[in-house]
Amino acid sequence: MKKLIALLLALAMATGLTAAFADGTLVFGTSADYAPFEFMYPDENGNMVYGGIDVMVAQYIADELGMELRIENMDFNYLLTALSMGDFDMVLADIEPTEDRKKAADFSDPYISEKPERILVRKADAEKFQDAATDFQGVSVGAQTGSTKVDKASENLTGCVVVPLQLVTDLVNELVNGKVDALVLDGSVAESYAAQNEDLVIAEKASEVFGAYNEVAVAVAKGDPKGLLPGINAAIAKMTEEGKVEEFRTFVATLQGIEEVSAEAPEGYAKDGE
Amino acid sequence: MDWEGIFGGMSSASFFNFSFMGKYGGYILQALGYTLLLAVVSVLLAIIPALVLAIMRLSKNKIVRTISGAYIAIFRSTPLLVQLSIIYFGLFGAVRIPNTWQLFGFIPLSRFIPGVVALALNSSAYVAEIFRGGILAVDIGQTEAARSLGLPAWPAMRMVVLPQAIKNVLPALANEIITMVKESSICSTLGMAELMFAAKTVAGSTYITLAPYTIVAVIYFCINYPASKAIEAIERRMRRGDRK
Repeated sequence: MKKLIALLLALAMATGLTAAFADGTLVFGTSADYAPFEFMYPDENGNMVYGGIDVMVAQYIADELGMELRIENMDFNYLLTALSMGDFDMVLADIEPTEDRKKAADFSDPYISEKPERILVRKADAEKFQDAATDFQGVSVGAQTGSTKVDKASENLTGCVVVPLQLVTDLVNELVNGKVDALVLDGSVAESYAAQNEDLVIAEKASEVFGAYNEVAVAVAKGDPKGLLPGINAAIAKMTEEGKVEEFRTFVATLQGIEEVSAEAPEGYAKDGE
Repeated sequence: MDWEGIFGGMSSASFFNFSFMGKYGGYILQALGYTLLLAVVSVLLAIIPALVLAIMRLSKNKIVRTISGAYIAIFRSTPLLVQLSIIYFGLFGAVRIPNTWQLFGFIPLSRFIPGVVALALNSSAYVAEIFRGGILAVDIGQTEAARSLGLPAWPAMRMVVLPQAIKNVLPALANEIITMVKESSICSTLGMAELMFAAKTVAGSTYITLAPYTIVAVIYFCINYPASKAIEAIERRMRRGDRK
């Protein structure tokens, strides 16, 4: 009987939980539908690879830890659940460490001081939305479920009706089609959409209500069972000192054809998709 | 084809801005393969359990009947998305599949197997009802004749009733595959890179938010409509042998 249990345990070990870490692979979970942070694009051979600021940060961390990075893609709402189940070693998905999330996972030091939320509106309505305190009475405002945006919208835009949806792309569709009148999105995301879609603009003045910046951090499983946090924090400290994040940001913008700057790919990045 | 040149000028919220197809066309095709594999494999996996469930459902033993009935009731009365989430995080949270195993180099088994199992468990409830209908549709006289010739109950079922029942249910079974092609889009929430997932990924990566859905709608249609027409044709062909 004991032998059987030992055998089963060994089997479980071999197939399961600890395997990922033991073989020198760092499994990084993300939700690759959130450009410019994480998205997919075809490389020169037509293979789909992962790209984005978070992907490059994850690659940097893996390099610093001397591990090989593997990317797993999943719906944003399920990321922290899958992390706590041991599917991933870490999650980078433009996650702000809020109090609620800290109950579900442990967080590293922030790796980006991200631009704060921006309010995206239709160009025709740009004049209408000037003041967060008065102009949003009864207005439908879209925000992504499971993100911090839902709470921030209802707290800051007085009297607004929040419409929560899962995907940013669906939110943008709702805005374009007049189902909602404004969106609360991450600064970089809102700016990208405003740049790509000439019918959409950012309500700059009203957006000031969201303050100066948000901090974004790496999530690891609660209690850090694999002991990854110290290494991750050291990598982030080094990365911040080298000013790498700005470099990543520029490279990603070039990749997406938003900026005309022709930046060389920082070595070893953006090619390490699955 | 110069997709970028033809569609590049359109609004990124247009239903017909297909400028991404040059870059992402191959990815969407691969996703189509994923979808078809999910649908076909899960229905094929569902057939044997479904047959067992259907025969249990027609059993004279009340307990056996209730077990089968309960299974069918549970899977038909709860949403597939709920079943998928419970199976993925519950069952496959306990039974781990190494996430380095891949099928054809682009289908990670750690996602594919839970997806297929969830779809197959769900599908077997529906297919069981199809089989039950098929068995009941075989004239009772066939069973009576078989039994009066001295065949015991199970051989009578296996050698006389089931072959005729299976002929009855083949079109319905093919329809189930078509349903699965559509239903499998639900697996996109758990990162299975099938068609719907590809649409979401392309939309999220290119800021072109509607046209990817148009493309996958067209693809789903081009698969399912001819398939259902083909099934109709086969059905007509098979009916030719029936006595008028």
